[in-house]
Amino acid sequence: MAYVAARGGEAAIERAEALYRRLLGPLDPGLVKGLEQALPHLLDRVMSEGSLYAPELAALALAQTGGDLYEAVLLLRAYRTTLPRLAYALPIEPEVLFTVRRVSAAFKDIPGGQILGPTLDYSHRLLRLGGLQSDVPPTVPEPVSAENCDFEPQQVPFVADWHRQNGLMPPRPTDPTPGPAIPDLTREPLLFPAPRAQRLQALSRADTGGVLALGYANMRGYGAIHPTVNEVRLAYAEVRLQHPATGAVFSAGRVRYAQAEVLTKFRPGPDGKPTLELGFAASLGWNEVKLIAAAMLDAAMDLPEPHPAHTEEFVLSHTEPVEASGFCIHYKLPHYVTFGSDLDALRKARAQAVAEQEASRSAEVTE
Amino acid sequence: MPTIFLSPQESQDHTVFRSLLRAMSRPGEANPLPLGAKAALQAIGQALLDLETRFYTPDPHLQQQFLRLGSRASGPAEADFLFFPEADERIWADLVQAPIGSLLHPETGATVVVLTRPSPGARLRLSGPGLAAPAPLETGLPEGFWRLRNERVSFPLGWDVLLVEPQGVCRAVPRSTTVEVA
Amino acid sequence: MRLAELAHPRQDYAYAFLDAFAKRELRRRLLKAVAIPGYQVPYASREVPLARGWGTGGLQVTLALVGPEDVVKVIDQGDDQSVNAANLRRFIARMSGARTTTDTALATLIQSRHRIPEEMLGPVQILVLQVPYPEPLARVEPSFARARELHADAEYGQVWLGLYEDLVRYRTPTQGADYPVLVHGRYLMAPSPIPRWDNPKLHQAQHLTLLSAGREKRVYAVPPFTEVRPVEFSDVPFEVEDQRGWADWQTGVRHKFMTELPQADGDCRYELSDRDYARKRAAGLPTQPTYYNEEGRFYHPGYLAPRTPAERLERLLHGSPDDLPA
Repeated sequence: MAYVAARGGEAAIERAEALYRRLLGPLDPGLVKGLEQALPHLLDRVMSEGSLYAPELAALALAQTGGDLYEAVLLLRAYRTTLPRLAYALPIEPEVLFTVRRVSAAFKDIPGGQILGPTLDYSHRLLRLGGLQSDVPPTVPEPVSAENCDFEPQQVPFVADWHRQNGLMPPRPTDPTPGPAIPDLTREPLLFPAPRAQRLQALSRADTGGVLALGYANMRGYGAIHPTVNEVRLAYAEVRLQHPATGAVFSAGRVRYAQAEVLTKFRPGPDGKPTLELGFAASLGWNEVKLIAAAMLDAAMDLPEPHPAHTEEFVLSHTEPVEASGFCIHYKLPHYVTFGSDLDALRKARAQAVAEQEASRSAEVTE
Repeated sequence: MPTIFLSPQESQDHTVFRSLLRAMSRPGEANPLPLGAKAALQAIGQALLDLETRFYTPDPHLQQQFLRLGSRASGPAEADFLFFPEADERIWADLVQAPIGSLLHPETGATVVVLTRPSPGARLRLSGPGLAAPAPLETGLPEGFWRLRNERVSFPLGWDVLLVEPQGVCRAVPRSTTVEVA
Repeated sequence: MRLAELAHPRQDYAYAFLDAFAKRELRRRLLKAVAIPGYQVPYASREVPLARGWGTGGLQVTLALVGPEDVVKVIDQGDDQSVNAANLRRFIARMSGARTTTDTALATLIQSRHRIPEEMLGPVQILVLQVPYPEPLARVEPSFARARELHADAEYGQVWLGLYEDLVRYRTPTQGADYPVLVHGRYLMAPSPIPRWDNPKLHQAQHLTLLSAGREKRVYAVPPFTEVRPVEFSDVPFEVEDQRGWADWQTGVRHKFMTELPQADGDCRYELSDRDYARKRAAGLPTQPTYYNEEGRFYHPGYLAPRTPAERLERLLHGSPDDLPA
């Protein structure tokens, strides 16, 4: 039966899919809407790995796959690739981010303040068992008024700018590359060494678990960069477009955006003087674990002799969620032709070994 | 069932591409194009060019057409594709600049598309991949073109030539072909 | 110009799934791949609604090629009915309106995983091979960046050294399928995990072969009538799988590539791997000429080294029209 099950063509495929769908129950707009509202962090993870910012579609992908993340990411990628590119958005300018959370581990306090924002970082991780019995309404923080708040979400300076002002770090490179000329991972193959834009794009789409595993290895001392989290930021960003006729800049919508910076132990800079180096990662959607690990890997890749598991090629080749998961499960496909060919080689080698043993035995007899 | 249709434009692009692919696989072989003369050059551009490509052509009309596809105009030394509706000595200076690729990335060598004249040109003998045996080819291009081509091609480096005949026939001479000028 | 002019009219998916940008990119890459036989051309490799590693590279090439007039055949391990092959075939047909077939002779496009059909392909046919590992140097050089440099310099000594080490240690090459070949005397190429039995079919073939690795984002080609030679020493020639004693359990056919079917009693049966060829043979239907004849002789005399003393003697006496280069 097991062998037959791998054959049988279209009828088998349809029945197998029907069985799978039966496990999941019906797919309806209420379910999709509910997932979109209840699971923003899961949505963010799927959207960033899926390279498509579309909460509704991410919710649909999750509903349709019963929460199988890799399948959901693949669904989004396969959908996104069919979409036409109508225009290039202008770069997200850090100065106009609508920041809701920004913390730095490098200093006790920082210009603009440590902004804790929405987080569970300092909460007790206790199951709220009451939720099993009755509704648990969200606790609403006290409303903020202009009088009791000096926080301007659009004016939160970057900690790295402080380092730069203090000569601890080279100035932020000005990049005049216009949108269409920025190397685009989804339109061009990733070759090594990769342009910086492609490296950051790849990290942005990378598998959270994969990035974490490699980043964690680095944190544990394999190719240590002794990192310090300079800044982690969650924000909303405007997607700004330029009108093709009038040239006017307008906002096409707002996306959740996050970025992380880590500092490395100082190294000789381009001018020969020791300087701090920055690892950086950014993504659509809020996923702090991935961004911190990715920023550390970004820094680790730039070491003169990175650990073999932290070279750019190694990291980016092995944290691609769609490729890694797809190839992993491809081993379920029949391989009997290749295995048969391998068996042939094995048999020949065994026959040679037998022949040699016999030859040496007969040589002993002769002696 | 999802709705899917093949627009007339996509249909033409597809026909052109399949013809080019076959031509490139069988150097010298005549393959039909749906259009002739300059319109054939335009059709080739339509099937291959978009904003990911750079092109060069001395022809203002073709240039307008290709810019509409989003393709970027460049000098001959930076172009992925070079289109020449007139193949006389005036294009030599452009051709000699066409990229031949690098050993790390030979695919960055250009594609040169030339509209040939019905007049007799150099007699060639082609051999190499795609040819079961050495084959003769008479093109509407003068000997100088092929001498220049041979000077620039050193497999795997070089440019790949697409010859378009006015009645709507396409032949290819990729860089892998050994071209002997009789 | 208005934004609306740039957008296409509403349809669920583009013809053959890939949007026009993806198709044009693949067209450009494929033309270069054919112009530089055996060289791996990098390409963007879009996601398709199929998991990576399941033929996404082959599928993209097929989708870039397919038109309504095509007849498509898809096989996996030689079998049209394997679920993955059926799934791909269904998708290609649904997205392109192309007809499908299992008959090798009727197909214009053949997408295959791990096999080249037994019946000889003709000049109007295109074979698309799915590739998991495009880099033949990966065994000796895991970094693609460094492998690219070795290809640039045609520096393949390490591969021959690996073969030599195999011979020292095991007295026989250890590579089963995906046995590397040298194309047009220049590029070392992974022929995809076809059995060694299929390697010679790429040499001076009538048809165009396109090879595509979706996950690794490389496409390459073997044009028709191109020199394709295995990595070998002149005194230790390349050998195909030795199945000379095997016969198909249903038809009794011999000298075609076989699959072993282990039996409950520990014994095994042999079955033709090319299932459509087996179907025709079992039904007594006419077949096309095959690459290997009924005695197991390959159709390019001399390409494969003789394996029996009688064959060796014959070659010694009469020579070979297509002798291996020194």
